[in-house]
Amino acid sequence: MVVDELDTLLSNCAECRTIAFADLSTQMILVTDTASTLPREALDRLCKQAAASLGLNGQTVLGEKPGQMAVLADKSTVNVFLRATEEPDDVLCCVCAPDVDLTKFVADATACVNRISSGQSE
Amino acid sequence: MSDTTALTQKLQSFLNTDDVFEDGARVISDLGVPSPLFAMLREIDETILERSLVFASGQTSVHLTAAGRRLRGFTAVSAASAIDETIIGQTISREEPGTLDMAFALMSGIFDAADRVTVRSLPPEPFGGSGERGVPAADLMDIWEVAASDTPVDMTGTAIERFLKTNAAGIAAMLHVSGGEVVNSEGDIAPLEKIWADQASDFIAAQTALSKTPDAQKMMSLDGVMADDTSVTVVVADDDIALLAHDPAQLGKLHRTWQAIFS
Repeated sequence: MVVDELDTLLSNCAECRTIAFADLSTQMILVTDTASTLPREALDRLCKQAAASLGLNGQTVLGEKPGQMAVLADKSTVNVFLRATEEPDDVLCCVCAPDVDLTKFVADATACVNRISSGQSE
Repeated sequence: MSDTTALTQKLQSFLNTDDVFEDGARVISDLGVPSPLFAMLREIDETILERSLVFASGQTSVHLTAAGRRLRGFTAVSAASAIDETIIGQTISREEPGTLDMAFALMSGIFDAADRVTVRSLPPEPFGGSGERGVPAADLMDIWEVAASDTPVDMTGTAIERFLKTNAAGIAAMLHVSGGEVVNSEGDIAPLEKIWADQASDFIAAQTALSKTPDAQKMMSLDGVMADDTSVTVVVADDDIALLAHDPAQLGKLHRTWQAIFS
């Protein structure tokens, strides 16, 4: 189950607060972790941030080609957006605390979104 | 103790409440500030009575004996890397330049790239003869040319300038714009100039519009978006904007540094 993947990723990172799986083509959050308390408006904004960072339909928003991952940090929050390797519209949206270990978390989250996207989690 | 200056400094250090500890060891260098070699020599320079100092980074540690502001020698190393351990147990001496070279290779080889270095001061272990005094830390700073770039990062300037200085070694190219004017640049900036001219404004505006805190300082990184798979990071701080091109592997350090400086 997709939600189990999200819950496992969340439980393995103490600094991660919310994880959502989204479809960029429709800009909709499909599933969140079970503990998520983010209201619908916040989830919609998260999805729009993912689109504005990673680009839609092969669009390049910054640089010379579309990004696979985006990290948006301010003093209180770090948002991480990750595309699945084979399905560019499958995206993991993660809200983390500022002290998250990005290197470890990104490695775990990349494996997670690829498992979900390839159907290995079903 | 006849060295009253040292005693005063030592007493002053007891009053320093800014010290950070990790697992009981005091952090002396964090994210390269100050440089690990400078930080370790400063610890030796502050050691009057004979002590065993244990410098560590992650799982790697170096044990050495210091006294009278001098490095006497090394007593143990736990390093997975290929470190020449023949220096262990030898007294560091100006008369034997080879010992100076080996000491430098050991300390810089293990700690130069360390994100964080800690120190513990322990009771002294038996080491060498009583007449073998070692080499003053101040002299080692001169001999090893631990100056200028190896002294603590200049903490003057704006936060964004400190961020750029701290990460200079890990940035392939950089464009710093302040008040709309390019005030500094490094490396091959042609791709960054194109991003600045064609994309940066729209990207920053879109992210600001979607942010819960539109006016907050931000660090935004896009992984592998250049043709050569390098990443681009945008740092926004008031009127200052920096565009960086860097290896994707630098992201973790850039983020930790950004949090340390801007939070």
